Formats: sequence, C-alpha cells, structure tokens
Amino acid sequence: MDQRSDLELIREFKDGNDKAFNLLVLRYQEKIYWVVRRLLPDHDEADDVVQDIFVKVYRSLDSFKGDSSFYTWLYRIAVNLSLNEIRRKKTRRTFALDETVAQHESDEMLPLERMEREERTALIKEAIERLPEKQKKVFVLRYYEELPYEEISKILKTSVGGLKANYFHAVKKIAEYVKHGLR
Amino acid sequence: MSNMDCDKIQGLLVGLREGTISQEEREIVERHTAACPQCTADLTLIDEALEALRNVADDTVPNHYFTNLLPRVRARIEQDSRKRIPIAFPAWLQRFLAPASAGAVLASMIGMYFLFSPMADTQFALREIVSDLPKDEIEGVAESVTSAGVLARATEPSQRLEETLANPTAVTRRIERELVDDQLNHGHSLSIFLAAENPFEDIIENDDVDSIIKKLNDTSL
Repeated sequence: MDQRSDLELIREFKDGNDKAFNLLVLRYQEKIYWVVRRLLPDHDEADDVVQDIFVKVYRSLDSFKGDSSFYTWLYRIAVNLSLNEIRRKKTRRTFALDETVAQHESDEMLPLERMEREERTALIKEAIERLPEKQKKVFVLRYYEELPYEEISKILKTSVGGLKANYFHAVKKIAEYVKHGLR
Repeated sequence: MSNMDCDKIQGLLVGLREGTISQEEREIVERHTAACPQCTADLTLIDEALEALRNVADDTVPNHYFTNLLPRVRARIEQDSRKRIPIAFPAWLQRFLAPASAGAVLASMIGMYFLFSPMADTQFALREIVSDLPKDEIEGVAESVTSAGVLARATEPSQRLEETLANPTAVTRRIERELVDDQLNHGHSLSIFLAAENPFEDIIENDDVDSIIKKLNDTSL
C-alpha cells in the first residue's frame, strides 16, 4: 500500500506524474463504486457513472485547490453524478428480484427462509430507491459509508442538524415502506 | 410535550440506536420517549428499519471488476482526449480562458447582430459596392450630392439619407440596383433597405421578389 497522502499524490499529478492518478483511483475505487451502487442499484449503470467520476476527477484535478479534503471533493462528485444519472433516467425501476435470487442463493438456507430474505431485501432496496433525493444521499453516506455527519455536511454542503433530520426521516420511511410491503 | 421537543429528539433517535450520541443526549432521549408515544413509535420504526437493513443480502460485483476498473477508466480518458483539441494550456492561462471565451462569444454575438441586421447589411453592401467602383468614377460621383450621400450612408446610415434619396443619379441608381440584387441574394426584406423617401419606393417596398426583379429590369439605368 502506497504511503503517500492524497495531497502528495495530487501534487505529483499536477507536477506531471500521471501515474499518481492511478494510485488515487485504486485507493478510492471500491468506496466510490459502493456509494454509486447504493444510489443506482444496477451494476452496469453504476459502472458507467464510476468511470465518468474518475474521468471527471482526472480532468479537474489540476483545479483542485484543497479547500476540502480530496475524499470530500471526490464524494461530492460521486453523489452529484449519480443523482444526475437518476434524474436523466427518470425511471423508477423495480429491483431485479430474479438477479438477487440468483446471486444470493445459499445452500444452507431453507427455501422458505431464503425466499423471505430475498423478499425483504428487494423491499428494502425499493424503499431506498423511492426516498426523496436528499434523504437518499444522506442515507447512503451515513448508513452504508458510515460517514460522520460533519463529513457529510462538507460533501453535501448542508447543516448537521438538517442532515440528522433527513436521516431520521429516511430511516422512518424505509421502515414504513417495508412494514407496509410485508403486510 | 411540545412539537419542538419531538423535532429535536427525532434527530437523536437514530443516533441512540447507533450508539453515536453522548451520555447526556441519551438521557434526554430516554426521558422524552418514556413520556412521548409518538417518539416511542418512531423509535420502534427505527429498530425495525435497522433490523431489516441488517438482514439485507449484500449486492455482488462481477469477478475482477475492481482489477479491471483502472484500465477501463484510462481507456475512457484516452478516448475522451482524442475528442478534445490537443492544446495543453498552462494553469495560469486556463484561469483566463473561461472569461476570455465568454467575452469572445459575446463579441461575436454583437458582431453577428450588426453583420446580419438589415441595416448593417445595407451598410456593408454599400461599402462593398463603392469600393468596387473605379477610382475616377468614385471621384466623379463624389462631387455630386447624391454620391456624397451614398458614401455618407455607408458610414452613417441615418445622416444625409434624405439628401441622397432626393437626388438620384445614374450612379446611385446603379448602386441601388446592385444593392437590391445583393439584398435579393441574401434574402433580406427589401422594404427595410430604404426609407420612405426612396425614389425606388414603388419597386423596393414590394415584397414580391419576382416583380421587383422585373421592375428593376424594366428600369433604364
């Protein structure tokens, strides 16, 4: 694992070491992929957006001033491009249950138990997908990325108080949706 | 129990379950929920949501996805670069590029307006016609009020127009004729071309191009 900090790598990139960018991609690709994937449940769509994000980072890195951390800046780009894609598509797709079934079959589970789990999984994902944009962003960054509110506040440029309220409403809506769906 | 209290508590409910709030906040939430059915119900919902989320099967990623991502990003950057103009501006210059580009666009829009506005077209055509005339002819016509008027119109369209139009000579008629042809070729409305006192009013204020050409051909210059 390379010990150089993000800022050092960025400085090297700005000085003409193109390979420093590769290290940044390798460092953050998984985190960024999962943020995007939580917002765009389809892998192919997420993959496309992830590539766009890193291309944009490559193009904009020269103008990165370091006012915020690279990580915050990168997350902001990731969230914004993902939401652009959601708006562009404007389709609320139903989660592909078949795919999930195929991917998560476990020999150890009884068929009924497995079916129930898959049903719950599909419902939860649907619930997240249906959240209002703002709540969805906050939920993904907080629940899945486990980012502190202060960090999310820098990424989304929103007050911590507002984020807490958004997160609360997001979690509540998910619970209500799942409860209603399982009834 | 006021709604304001509930609003404050709601922001802490998830934190209570996540274990991310302080001991003091925890005591406030617990005291509040013990006396508030609404917040208690919300806390139950949160428990249910977190429980459901814990049981969600993880998404999967195709094998070797992360191994192949960087080469694919690189390929896209390369592909993207080919589409761009291969000029590498230094950073200090890039700062000026956006305002400079905006200025250039604005200037060209203003230029286009004047270039393609009917009056500008008239001025331009007049300049072209006059500049194409043989030197002696320009000098000759320049002595007359008419040609002076035409020349004046080429630069100052509103000035001396009346004077010009009131004294048409063969030269101005020819110039006007060429100008009309030019206008016709450019598809502009002829009626804008000259003002009401125009001696060719009966011809050029007619929007029917065919009849204008016919009348012009019938006019002895």
